Amino acid sequence: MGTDNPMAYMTENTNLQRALLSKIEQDGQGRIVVQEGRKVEEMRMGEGGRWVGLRFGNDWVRGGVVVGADGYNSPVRAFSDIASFGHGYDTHAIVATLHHSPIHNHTAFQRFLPTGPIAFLPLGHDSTTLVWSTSPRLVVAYKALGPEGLATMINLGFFMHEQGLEGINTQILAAHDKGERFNLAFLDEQWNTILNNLTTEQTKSLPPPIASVAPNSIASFPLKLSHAESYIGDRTVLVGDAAHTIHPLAGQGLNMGLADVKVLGDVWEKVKSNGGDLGAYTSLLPYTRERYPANHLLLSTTDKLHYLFSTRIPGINWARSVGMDVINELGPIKKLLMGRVGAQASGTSTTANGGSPMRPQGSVYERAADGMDAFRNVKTVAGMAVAAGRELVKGGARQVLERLAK
Amino acid sequence: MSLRRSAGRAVLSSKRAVQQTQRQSLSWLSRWQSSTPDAALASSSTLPTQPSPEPTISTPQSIATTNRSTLANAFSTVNQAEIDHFSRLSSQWWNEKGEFGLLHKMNPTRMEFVRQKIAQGVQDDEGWSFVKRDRVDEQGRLIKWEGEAAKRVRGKWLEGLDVLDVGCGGGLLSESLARVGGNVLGIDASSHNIAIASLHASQDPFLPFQSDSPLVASTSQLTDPAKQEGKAGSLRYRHTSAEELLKEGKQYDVVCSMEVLEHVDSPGEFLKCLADMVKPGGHLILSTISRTPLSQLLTITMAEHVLRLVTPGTHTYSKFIKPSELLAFVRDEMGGTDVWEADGDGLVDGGREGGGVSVGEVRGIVYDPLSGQWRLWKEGLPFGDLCNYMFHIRKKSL
Repeated sequence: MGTDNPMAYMTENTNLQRALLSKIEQDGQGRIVVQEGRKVEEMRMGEGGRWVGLRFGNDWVRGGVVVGADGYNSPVRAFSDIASFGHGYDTHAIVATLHHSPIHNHTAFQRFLPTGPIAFLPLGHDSTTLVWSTSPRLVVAYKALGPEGLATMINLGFFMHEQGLEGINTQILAAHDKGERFNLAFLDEQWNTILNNLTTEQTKSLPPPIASVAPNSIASFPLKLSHAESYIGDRTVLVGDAAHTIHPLAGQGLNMGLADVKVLGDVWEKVKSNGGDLGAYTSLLPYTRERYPANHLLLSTTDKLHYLFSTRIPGINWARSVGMDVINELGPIKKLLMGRVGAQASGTSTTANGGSPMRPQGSVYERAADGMDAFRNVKTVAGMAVAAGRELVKGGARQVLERLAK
Repeated sequence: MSLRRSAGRAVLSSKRAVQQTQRQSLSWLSRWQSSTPDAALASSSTLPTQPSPEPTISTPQSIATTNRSTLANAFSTVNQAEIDHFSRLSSQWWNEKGEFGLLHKMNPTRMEFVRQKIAQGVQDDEGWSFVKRDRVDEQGRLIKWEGEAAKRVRGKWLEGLDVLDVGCGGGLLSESLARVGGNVLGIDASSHNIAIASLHASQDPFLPFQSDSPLVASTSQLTDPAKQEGKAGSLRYRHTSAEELLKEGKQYDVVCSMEVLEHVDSPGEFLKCLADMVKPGGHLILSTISRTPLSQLLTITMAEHVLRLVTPGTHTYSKFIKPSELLAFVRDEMGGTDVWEADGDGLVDGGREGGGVSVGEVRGIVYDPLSGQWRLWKEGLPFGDLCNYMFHIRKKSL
C-alpha cells in the first residue's frame, strides 16, 4: 500500500483461498455444504431438464443449476456441449515466488522480451511473484538450472540487453539438448558485470535484484487464448477459466473470473427476489450480456499486446514507441488505462466494506468500470493495446531497459 | 364499450397455448378433447410406450413410477405415453427461446411489480433516517441501506399469503409466486395448460408442488434435503374457471391474472369475479394491453405478422382495454373507493371518463430490445401505458 492510488493489489493464492473459506464458514452455515476431497464422477440432466445431478461415489446431489468454475478443461463445459475457440501461444509461463532485499516502493515491473514478457509483481516488502512467459523449450531449460541458477537467470531477464540474453539462451538450450548441466558460474559472471555497472538512476527505475527463488514455488503452464462460445448451457453456467483463458501479460485472468462471479451473484440476487428459476436461460441471460463483451474485449486486446510486444520488426518497433508517446499526450485514454487494468465488473458493483482486507477491491472495481466504459468508446484496439502496455511498464522501466538493450 | 356489464359468462381462453398445442400435436389434442381424462387414459393404454428421449436418473420418486400404488402398476405404460405428449407441448410453453420467449422475459418484471405492490404493505422502516439510507460515499461507492423491510421483500415475501393465479397457462407466474413463499393456486380453463403446468412443476424437485392429478407426482413427496429446508409456500393447479372457483367461496390475499383480460369475452364480469375473490386488505394485480395504434402496431402487426414472434390470431385488437377504461370501470362498477383503497402514488387518470376519485395504479411495462429486458415504466411518467401495462388495486380492510 505504498501509494494512495495503487494500480492493483497482489495477493498470494493461499491467502485468497483462506479468506474465501473463512467467509463460507462464517456466512454459509447450513446453506453451503463443502464436499472436501470428493470427486464428481458423473453428471446427468434430470427429467424435463429441471435439475442436474452430480454423483459423488454412490450419492447423487441435485441442483437447479451447476456453476462450471472448473478451469480450462472444464468438464461442465464439455457436459454442456459448449465449444471453445482460441489458439495457443507456443509459449509457456514460469511462475515462482522470489525473495529480495526489502523495498518500500511496491511497483510492478514487466519487461517485454522477444520471447515474451517477464513480470515482477510485488507481494510484500521482500517477496514478489514472477510470471515469465517464454518458449516451451526455454521453460524446461530454465527450470533445469535449479533454483539458484534460475534466480540469476531471472536477474539477467530483467537487466540484460536483448542480444546478450539471446546468446545466453542459445547456450542454455544447446547444453540442455545435450543433457549437460549449464555452467552457473558463467551466469553469475554476466550478472555481476551488469550489477557493478548499474547507476543509481537506473536502480531507481528497475526492480530490485533477486536474492533467491522459493524452490517449491516454481511451476509452469502452457499459455493459450480461449473463449467459450456461450456461458450458458442447459442448467449450467460458466465462470472464470472454464469460460475464458488469457495471456498473463496483463494480469487479468483472476480479475476476469472474480468479475464474472460478482456479476453472476448480483444477477441471481435479483432473480431470486422475483421468484425466478436460477438455472433458466432467461435468468442467466443478463450475466452473459454483461460479461461476454467485456471479457472478449480484454481477451482480444491482450492477444494483440502479446504479438505487438514480442515483435522486433523495426517499423513496428518505431510505431510502437510513437504510439506510446501519442497515447501519453491523450489525457482521457491514458487516464482510462492508468490504474484501470484491474477487474472489470459493472458499475453496479459496490463491494464496499470499510476496513476489511478486501477493501481495495471495491475501488478497483469501480475504477475498472469507468475504464470499461471508456474502453467501449475507443474504436482502435491497437491503440489501446499500446497504451495498456505503456501502463504495464510503470515508472518508465521499459524505456530504461530499452536503452540498456542498445 | 367492452367493459359494460354483460350477461354472458366470462370464459378464459388461453388462446396462444391452445393454438400452439394444436400445431404441435393435433391428433393427441383431439383425443383429449373428445374424452374425459379418465377416458383418455383408457383409450390411450393401447399406445406403444415411447422411450424417454433424455437420460434420466431413476429415483423411486420419479414420475414414471408414482408411489400411488393403486395406479402405478396398471397405468405405468400409459403414464409414459401421456408424459411424452405433455413433454412435447410443455417444450413450447417452457421453451425460453421460442414463441413464449418474450413472455419469459416479461415474467421477472411482472413479478417485480407484484413485489413492489406487496412490499408497500410491509410497514417496517425501522432504522431509516435521512442519514441511514442508500448513499454514495466520497469514493463514489454505493452504500445500501439495509432495513428489515428491505431484506424481507427480497426473500420469501409471499410467505403465509394465499395467492390465486387466474389463467396460469404453463405456470410461468405461478412457479415464481410459489418460489417466493406464496400458497399458490393456478387455474386455467384449458385442461392442456393445467396438464403442462403440472408436469413442468412436478419435474422441479425444488418447487413445493402438490399434485391433484393421478398422472403426475407431487414434488412434495420427494425427500430432497434442499427441498425440505425451503419448505415455505405451496403450488397447486386446477382445471377450472374463475366463475366456478368463486362458487366455492374462498378468498385470497393476492389475486393475479396476467395477460388474460384481453382474451376474455366479458371482461367486466371477469373483473368483478376476480374482485370477489380478493380478501379484505388483499391485492388484485393484472397485466394486459391497451387499445392504441401503438399496441396494434407492436403486438399484432410486428409481433404476429412481421416478426412472427407470436402465432397470428393470438391477439384481437378490439378486445384490448385502455387503462382509463379499466380505471373508470373499477371506480364506477366495482365499488370505487367504498371497496378499494384510493391509490395515491400511481398514474391517476381514471378521471378522464366522468370524473371522481379513481382507485388503482397503472404502470406501463415496456420491452427494451437493447438490454433484452422488460422494464417497468417510471411511476407517473406519461406514454408508458400505450401498450402493455400492469394494474393494481388493493381492497380495503374490514
